Amino acid sequence: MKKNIPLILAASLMALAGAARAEEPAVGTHTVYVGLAHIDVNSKAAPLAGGSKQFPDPGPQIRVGNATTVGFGYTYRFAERWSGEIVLGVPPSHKIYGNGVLANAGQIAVVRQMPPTVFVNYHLGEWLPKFHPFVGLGVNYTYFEKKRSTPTGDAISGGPTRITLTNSWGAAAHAGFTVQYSKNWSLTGTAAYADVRSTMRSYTTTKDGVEELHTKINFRPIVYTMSLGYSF
Amino acid sequence: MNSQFKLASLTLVAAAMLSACGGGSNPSSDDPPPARGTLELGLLAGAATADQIDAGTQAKGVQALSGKAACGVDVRYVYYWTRDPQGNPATASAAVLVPSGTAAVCTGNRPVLLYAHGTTTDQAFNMAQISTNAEGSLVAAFYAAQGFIVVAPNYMGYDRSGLQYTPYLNAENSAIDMIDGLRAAKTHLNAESAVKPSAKLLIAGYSQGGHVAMATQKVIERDYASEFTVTAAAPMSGPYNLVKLGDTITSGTVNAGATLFLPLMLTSYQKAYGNIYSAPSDVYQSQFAATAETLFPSKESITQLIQEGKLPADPTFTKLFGTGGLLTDTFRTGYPTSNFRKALQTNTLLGWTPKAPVALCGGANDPTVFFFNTTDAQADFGSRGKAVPASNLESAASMSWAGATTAATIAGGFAQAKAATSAAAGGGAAGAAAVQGAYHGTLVPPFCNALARGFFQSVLASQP
Repeated sequence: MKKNIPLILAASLMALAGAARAEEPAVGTHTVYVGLAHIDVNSKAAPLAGGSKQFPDPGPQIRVGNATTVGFGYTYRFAERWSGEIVLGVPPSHKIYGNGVLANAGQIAVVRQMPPTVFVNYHLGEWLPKFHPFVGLGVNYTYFEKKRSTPTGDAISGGPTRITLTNSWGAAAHAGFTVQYSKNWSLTGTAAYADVRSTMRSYTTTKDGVEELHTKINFRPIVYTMSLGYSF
Repeated sequence: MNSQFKLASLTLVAAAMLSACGGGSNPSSDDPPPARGTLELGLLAGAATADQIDAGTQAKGVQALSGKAACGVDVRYVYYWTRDPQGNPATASAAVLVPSGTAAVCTGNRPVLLYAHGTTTDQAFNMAQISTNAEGSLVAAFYAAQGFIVVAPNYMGYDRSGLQYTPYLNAENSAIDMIDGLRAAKTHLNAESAVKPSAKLLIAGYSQGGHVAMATQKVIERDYASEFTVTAAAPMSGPYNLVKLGDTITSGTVNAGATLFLPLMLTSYQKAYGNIYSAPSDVYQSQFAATAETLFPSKESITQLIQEGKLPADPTFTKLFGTGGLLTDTFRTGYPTSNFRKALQTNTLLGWTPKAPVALCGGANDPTVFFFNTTDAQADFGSRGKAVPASNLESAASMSWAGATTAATIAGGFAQAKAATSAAAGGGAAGAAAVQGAYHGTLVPPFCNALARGFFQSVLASQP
């Protein structure tokens, strides 16, 4: 998904090029926005434990793939320098790949997650004409709504496999900037980190019974967003 | 157009594009499975010295046939991707036994023997465990210690394989597993072994593996000629004429081991073709119907399975029909027109013509895989002008192709081995029963493998 980075940069440059002076949004301003969110996952997970088959080091592991989705949200300016924000998005699907001794298996599962996050943002003022940076702290809830083992995952697990992931509560932080074109229109870019951890379990129905494997995943996602906002 | 609207359209168009192509959670957006033959795991699992191999062949009394080890053996192991009979991704494993040592015959690029093992019901069966796996130790001594790289797939359904049954006597699918095991082994050896595979490919197998070996030669020569060239093949004691074997068994001459072979075959063909029965009780007697379909490969021993009532209590494994038998009378009477017989016909290995040299081997009194399989294959190939020797260990004349001395030595040695087995059981009827019991699984293999190795060495010598 590296292709998104130039896209986002191009959009930022265009945004600055088109800049003309505009005011800081007034207290009480509502902003809705829609754009792109790229979730760069840097997962860490211990080797899968359980099951009847032993593997040599580094053991059977998994790795969570990146995803890009449509993000949208709402910001409310409740004080001159402060806003509250709720970040939503079209639930992105992440491919889960084999890793460690399973590295050549490729994709073994897919999970779709909903990661609503709320932030309180502090706005640093207009640093450049129209350019308003901000930082925010918040809370992320990640809900894994769809989990499926692929035929490859079933083959390596030894039969039809059901997957569960525990949902995650964690702190989130982001930093970003808003380019305020006019009273109504703005462009916002952010980079965010959220603490997302989940226990994944797989249950494989073999002819000799159900085999359970499990691991704890630390997703360590960095989320890049670029959104167009409308304020009123 | 104002710049912000350009920007808005850029952002929204990009968003739409990315959400469309970014991949959803539906099966249609899954990555394709790993290619056939992809190596998932390859490792050096152990090693045996030439002295250790000699001690083993000495203890088993087969050193006159195996010869003294010229090489030590590195025991390697590969876990790889193949396809099940439906074409779905499946995993399987193989032993890769590699000559080691400094003798010329143990170094450089060595010919590859792709070896197919015989029937086992043991789910944990692994040819790489040569200290405990009798067939693994036999091929290590007969081939790897004499300078052949042995690639011996364990078959889908065994060891680390994820498949929950084994595609038993499924000719086309067994060949796919063998070919993918060979590919993975070559990938592993080329990356990690000092001793590398040469382009020479020999194929052998015993019993079920005789069938697998023949199927593998057929499929490689038909479909994979651009990737592999078979140098020679030596299928041994295999059920090549499966449909005749089925006809023979159902008309009353039940072979030794049938109560193990039939559940393996019925499940394999039911999984592959889906039309063998609508419920297991169509073919299995009621006391076995609930468990027979998923019985093999098993984590439990045959003795345990008999104690648990999951197999007929019969040490000769011939109690196929009648009271207390495995299969129903309906199955037997319906057999001539059944889909099971059609499946046997599909997997019968007659009506094709090998390109590479072939030498067949077996024993005429084999109670498990009747010898007509070997002579029928020989006659069938001969009918299209492909002359192949069919060695019968009971007859020195049938082995004259190997030279008079070898023929006499093998025939004499086999007769001696039978006599020793009989004498050890006290001779007479008990002795005859002991010979019957040991014939297919113990007595024939070292003799046929000695002939096969000699055959391979002579073909290799003629095609440097």
